[in-house]
Amino acid sequence: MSAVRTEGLGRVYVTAERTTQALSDVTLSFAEGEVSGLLGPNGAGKTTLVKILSTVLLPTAGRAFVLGHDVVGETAKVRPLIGIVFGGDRGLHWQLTARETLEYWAALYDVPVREVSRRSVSLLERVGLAAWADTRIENYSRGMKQRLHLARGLISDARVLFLDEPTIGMDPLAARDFRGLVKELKAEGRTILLTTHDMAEAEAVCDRVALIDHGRVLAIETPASLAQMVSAYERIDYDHGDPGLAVALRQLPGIAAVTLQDGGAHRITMTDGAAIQSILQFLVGAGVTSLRTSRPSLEEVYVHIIGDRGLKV
Amino acid sequence: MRAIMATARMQIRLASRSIESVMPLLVMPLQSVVALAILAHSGRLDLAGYALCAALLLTVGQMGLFIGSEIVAHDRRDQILELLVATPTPYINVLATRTILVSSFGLAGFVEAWLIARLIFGVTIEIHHSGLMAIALAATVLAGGGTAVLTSALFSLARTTRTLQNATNGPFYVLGGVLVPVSFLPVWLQPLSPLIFFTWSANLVRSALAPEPPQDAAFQLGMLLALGAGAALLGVHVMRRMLDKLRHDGRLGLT
Ligand SMILES: Nc1ncnc2c1ncn2[C@@H]1O[C@H](COP(=O)(O)OP(=O)(O)O)[C@@H](O)[C@H]1O
Ligand SMILES: [Mg+2]
Repeated sequence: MSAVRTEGLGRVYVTAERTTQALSDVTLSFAEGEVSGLLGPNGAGKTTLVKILSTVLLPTAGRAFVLGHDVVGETAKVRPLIGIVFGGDRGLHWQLTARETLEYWAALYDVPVREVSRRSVSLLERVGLAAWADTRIENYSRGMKQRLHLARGLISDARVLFLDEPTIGMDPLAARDFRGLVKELKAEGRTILLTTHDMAEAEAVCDRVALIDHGRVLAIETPASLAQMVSAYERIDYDHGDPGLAVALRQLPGIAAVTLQDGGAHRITMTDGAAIQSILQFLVGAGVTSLRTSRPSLEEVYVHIIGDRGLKV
Repeated sequence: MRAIMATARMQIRLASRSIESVMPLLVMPLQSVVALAILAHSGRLDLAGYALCAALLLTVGQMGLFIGSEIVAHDRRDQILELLVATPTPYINVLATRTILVSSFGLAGFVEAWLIARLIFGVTIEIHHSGLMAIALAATVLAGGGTAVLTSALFSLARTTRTLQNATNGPFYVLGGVLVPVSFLPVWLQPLSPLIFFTWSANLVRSALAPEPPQDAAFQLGMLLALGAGAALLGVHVMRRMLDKLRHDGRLGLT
């Protein structure tokens, strides 16, 4: 059985100012025990999808199932099965301590009484808040609140976890710890669906990644093919006075374009990521001493994907 | 049951750690002192029991209207409502536990006023029927909590509830005979009084304070509980509709 399945899922928001089609005809399924990613830029519809799956938002079209249960008609069956972490640092009573918070939510999820304190302690340890367990949340930094949110989402020992941009605003070290945690959770047999707009994060932890933009799923990729896609669009910027160099470069295999950037640097974009080595050698041989490689932003990759395949997948 | 106990513990912690959530309790002594001083000045300290009754109903009422009624709006503002709705515990259980508890904190107003009368004005307000008083106080707390479920549900959509609260605050006390006995009200207003739970609560509390044997206490208690339960049931219904609407509109978390 798939852990998460949607059929023609759609969501329209109607406000006084505008009508937004946040999701259109999303049909996908994620297997049990996998870490799946929803990757997309801001406004893509990731949070909308996660909220529908979490039973806190109704779809305006189609259906969605968590472990076979309809998220609209069978909320009572779905809710005990899922743990949710919505991004950001809100959603906590700041007068409580971390331990009190976990104990409170444990009761709401009906965690067995004898389990609660052991589980709270081990979760606080796991997210690095053990030393702050009895400090009131009002004294926490944003990152600490986010880590507490993670622990809160895990307190019910749910089989399926929805993590909406869990690392947004975390420092890089905490984000790395988080990736380790996701791997542990997967090893415990949990199913995880996480949203992110960070390609490196999706690559690092996901078994499969759904690329989503403007409410549509554009592609579902493995991280390997995602990585390939990203490196295929990798580019090299170099500074060199001789315009003839650009002309010569354009003759090389694997080069899509050489363009003059604002500020005088040239940017090489490649059709084939494997060409990078020979291009770099060529540049160094031509006496270029100042060069940088950079990865495309998510938006740029989208442009390529949409350009390659059209809007319909 | 566990969820209810845990919610109660949580609410007590919130109250003991943030002044805003018990503000009416802090303001009450001042009001009681003023009321009693007026009675003392006019040589009517024999009416101190009325001041005590008013203090009780004002604090229970204000805790319900100002603190209890904001619970849903605050949960929404703090992005906690979505998380609560996503748990297996029905949100209404969390809400009702909290409003009843908040309402019960209002009993402190009774104790405060009693102590002020005793310590500052040297008047011992005697409770002649303590059993009836205990029942009246408990029923008042339940009715206050039940009513706050309804107002909390109604206020949940408002971005700012202050105006609503201020507008509703005064009339209820007047109609309920908290400030002056109902018989002092204009004749055309009097028919509304039986619909306000304060009316019955005030009658019961005054009977419990008076030396005479209480009259009609069972009927008054029944009315008090019926009004509280009526408001609570309506509140449950409104809250359910409200949550469905918010879930439908995508506005459970205030955006
Ligand atoms: N509650 C809401 N009311 C109206 N529009 C909304 C609401 N939530 C999201 N939207 C709109 O829906 C689109 C998708 O938003 P969202 O699902 O939050 O995207 P993401 O999480 O990928 O950034 C955006 O255009 C956003 O402005
Ligand atoms: Mg989002």
